[in-house]
Amino acid sequence: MSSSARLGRSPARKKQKQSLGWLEKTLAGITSSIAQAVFTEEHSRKAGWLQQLDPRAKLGMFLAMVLAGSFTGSFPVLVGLYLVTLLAARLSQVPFDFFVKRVWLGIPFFAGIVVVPSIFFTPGERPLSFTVGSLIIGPSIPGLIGASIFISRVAVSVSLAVLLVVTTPWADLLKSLQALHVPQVFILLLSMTYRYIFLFLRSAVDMFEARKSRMVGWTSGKEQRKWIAGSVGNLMNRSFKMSNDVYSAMLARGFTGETRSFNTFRMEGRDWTALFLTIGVAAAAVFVQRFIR
Amino acid sequence: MSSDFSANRTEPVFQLKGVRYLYNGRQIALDGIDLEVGRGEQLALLGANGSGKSTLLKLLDGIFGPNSGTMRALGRDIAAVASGLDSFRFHREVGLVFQDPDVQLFSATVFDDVAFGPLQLGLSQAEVRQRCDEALEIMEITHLARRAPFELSGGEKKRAAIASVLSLGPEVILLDEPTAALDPRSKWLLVSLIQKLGQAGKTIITATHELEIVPLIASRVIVLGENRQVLADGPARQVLEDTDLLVKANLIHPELHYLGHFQPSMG
Repeated sequence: MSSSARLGRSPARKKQKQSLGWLEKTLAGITSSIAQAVFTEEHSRKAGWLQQLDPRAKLGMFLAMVLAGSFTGSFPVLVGLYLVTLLAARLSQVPFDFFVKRVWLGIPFFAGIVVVPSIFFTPGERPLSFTVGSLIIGPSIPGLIGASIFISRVAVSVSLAVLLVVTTPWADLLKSLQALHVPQVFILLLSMTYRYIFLFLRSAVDMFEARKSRMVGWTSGKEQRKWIAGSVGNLMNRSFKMSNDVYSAMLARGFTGETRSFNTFRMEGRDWTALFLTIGVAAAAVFVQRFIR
Repeated sequence: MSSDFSANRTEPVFQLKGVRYLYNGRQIALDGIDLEVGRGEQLALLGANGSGKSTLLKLLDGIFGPNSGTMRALGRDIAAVASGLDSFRFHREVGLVFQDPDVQLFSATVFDDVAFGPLQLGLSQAEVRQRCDEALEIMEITHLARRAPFELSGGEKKRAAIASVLSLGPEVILLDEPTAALDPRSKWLLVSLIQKLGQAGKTIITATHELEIVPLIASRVIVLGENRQVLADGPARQVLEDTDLLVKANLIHPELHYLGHFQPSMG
């Protein structure tokens, strides 16, 4: 029997497949994070409605709509607010499937875990139930209504956040935080973190690929853990060295510890109009929700 | 722009005597460097990998001071500059382009990076805008201004890094391996830029081991040996024709270069 045939039947081969799958998955995850960021920046450069607005106006609009969503206890009104975000996404040339997927893929997992117990523990009429001893187990109608409101509220908020991030370059979004009096040094740190996360993600991808290209045999779990620990240490060393070099580069361009930034924003008529229109819609939603249940 | 440097135009830009620098206080990076650079000189710093070129440029930029020896730059003691004294004004006059552009491009967009230096000078927004537009135009990357550095190619990053130094309008420009890993068009753009800056009277020191560009960008050459000392200092042609010296400095190899007809010039 050839060695390859022996390998094909051995448990080691199965183990190798599993470990390679794990590595492939990690590599794919890192790569997709980078690709998604680049893709998001692409959307922010389109000539859509939201892309043309001043980031500060967009931030104001986002806050107004999120507050409206939080103060609204009416399911139909929340659905209406969600439809407004879908319309805004459409006007901003954000692909429908990308937008909807990005919002709804995470919600069942995060919001679902929070809301599931309340469906069963909220008192009220239970159309489907079964009895275990003295306990009646089943979803109650008030529980289901509460869960629907909660999930639609989360959906509106997440949709608004995604829309803001997708239609605004990250750099502009950070700078717009100045309008909320966020300290400049904090904004600089955030922007540098964003900048270097991608550099280190690329380094991680390179290391994974370099390892993959040299994988010619089975490695044990212990060896893999050792490699991962070594890679983490290596990346950490690189990040320390890079941080020293970056600081040198900042000093070389006259950095004295005081943070200054260039402001290119200008609120124009259309920005104010969009902002006041959104505040109007948000106020109307809060008012109307008292009558529509 | 008034400065000590402008006031003392006849004084050498850099004066180094017996400069020694140790990494982590142990490993020798530079050993007994004597060097004098005059105003408006275009100088190439040659040396194999690990010969101390980048370290010397960082010393010249006042990022750190020597362990021993004396070093003056633009009329100032470089050790004092490295400890922070007057470094703000010093860096208006001396700009360093780092070898790795990812080190230099730390902002979220190319424009923000180019604007970083002028903003530190406390200039008005209009003046910052003007300087940035000029620097981006010189480097032919105006169309990349709003792009994030992680989206750029290697050549684009290099050009953005140089623009971020040009926007400061320094009198002295230090370039660390500016043409490394660039395609021919980007390389030529940089060579012609260095020539233009030289013609404008800037003092330029370029660290490289690409011999073919040296006659185009420098009239004087300093060779750093693998012993971290100055091996030669002279006119570019004279140094580049000394094949024994170039072999000794590990800049050419007999198996790769036909030494009898070694032609370092591109044109």
